[in-house]
Amino acid sequence: MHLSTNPGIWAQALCILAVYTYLYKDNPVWRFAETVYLGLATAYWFVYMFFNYITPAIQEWIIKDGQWHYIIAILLGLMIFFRYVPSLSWLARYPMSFWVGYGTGYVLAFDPAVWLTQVSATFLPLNTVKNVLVFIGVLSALVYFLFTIAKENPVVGGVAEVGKWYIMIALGSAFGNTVLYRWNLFLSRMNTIFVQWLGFSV
Amino acid sequence: MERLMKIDRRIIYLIAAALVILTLFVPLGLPVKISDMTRGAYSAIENLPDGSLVFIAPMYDPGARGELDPMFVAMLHQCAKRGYKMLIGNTSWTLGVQMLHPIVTDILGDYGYTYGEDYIELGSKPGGSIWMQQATNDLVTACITDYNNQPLAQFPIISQVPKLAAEYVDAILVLDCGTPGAREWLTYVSTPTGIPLVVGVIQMSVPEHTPFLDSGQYKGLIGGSRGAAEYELLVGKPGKAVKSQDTMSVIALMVTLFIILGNIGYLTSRKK
Repeated sequence: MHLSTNPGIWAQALCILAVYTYLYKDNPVWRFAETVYLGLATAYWFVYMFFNYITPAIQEWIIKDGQWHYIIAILLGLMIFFRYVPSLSWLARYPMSFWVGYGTGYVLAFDPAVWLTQVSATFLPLNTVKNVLVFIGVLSALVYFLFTIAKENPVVGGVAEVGKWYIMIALGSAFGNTVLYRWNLFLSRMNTIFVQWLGFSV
Repeated sequence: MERLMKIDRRIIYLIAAALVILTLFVPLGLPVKISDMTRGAYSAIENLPDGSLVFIAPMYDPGARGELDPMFVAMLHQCAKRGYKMLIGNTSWTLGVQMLHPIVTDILGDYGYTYGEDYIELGSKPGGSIWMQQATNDLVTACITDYNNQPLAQFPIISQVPKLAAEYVDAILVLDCGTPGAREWLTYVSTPTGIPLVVGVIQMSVPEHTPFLDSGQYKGLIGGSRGAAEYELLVGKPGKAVKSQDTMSVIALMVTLFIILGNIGYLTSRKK
């Protein structure tokens, strides 16, 4: 055992222990750690945004490269703050409208190529058990989400029931993987405490 | 039996913590069998042509280090053993590149790699998918500077990669723990440019990403700590992920046991 002399490791370890005290019950130590984290994260992201978005845009692109049209985008962005002026709050809708329109167009320009490949990947020859299971799964899960057709019909209802089981198995698999991931997080934290902080060799 | 449903959660936490700590100090040495999925990812990287150039994007932060650091380390070893040139950087995950910088310097230094010629760290760039799309048009404009804030255009390796395109980049290797991540790399870079994509993901994302492997959109997929352990063994550098497998196996058994007990308790109380 060789206790770490690195202040960073000490800070990490003490924060980990402070956060885990919540597992017993809510307490001031946990709330202190939570508040410190929120403050640090807010300051970090403010500085990050300032030096990575605002400074390069003004210094590099506008002043140095003379790309003055970026000023239009900056002014459009600043209009969002009109929401704090009740009489002019309607002006704040314009940057949002622009952003929603741009975002929609951007996604539609790139996404279909990805999803159409996903669709065509389900057009499989039914010559293996896996392919048959994929075919049944895709079809039945799609039927489950057909809300315009009455599920009282025994054929539609039966297929939808199969689809429901497929979805439940998928959700169960996702849950199982999530549980294991969380435990891996815990294991990493124990490594920090026992190996990096307390200096045990494992 | 009804008491099974009323076990204090703190007792479960204590049992689990004890198991984790116990297996940390007393390894069981359970075997790790290599899956076809991980072997496929390994082969996809291994079979790139000699002298290839790869872009490695560690799209994660400290929360995912436990699972993705071992993959990143093994990936660096594999690429360096094969002599690939490397661009290392991400978008939006700022803490990721900072925490990985010492690892990159140590490992690639051991292989005799020269910064700026054989590899370069681009740092973390803002913009997410917009940045990715810009990098497919002009890498220098998208990045401006490297990790150390030096102008990117001065480095020899960058003259070989004017943009992210299939004629310059042989593969993109993404380590994913959220958004933006592998899905964005697939949508905005790999699909439009045709650059092969190999992905490593955290355990909870495996079901979400597997369809992209089945459809051939990913050329390889490494899933969670188990996949990382298998990948470490394939690369010949067993490390943290291999060590963690005993703990993960014991925890999986414990969770399964508690689920069974909980259900027995539930069914018994329902009958009454």
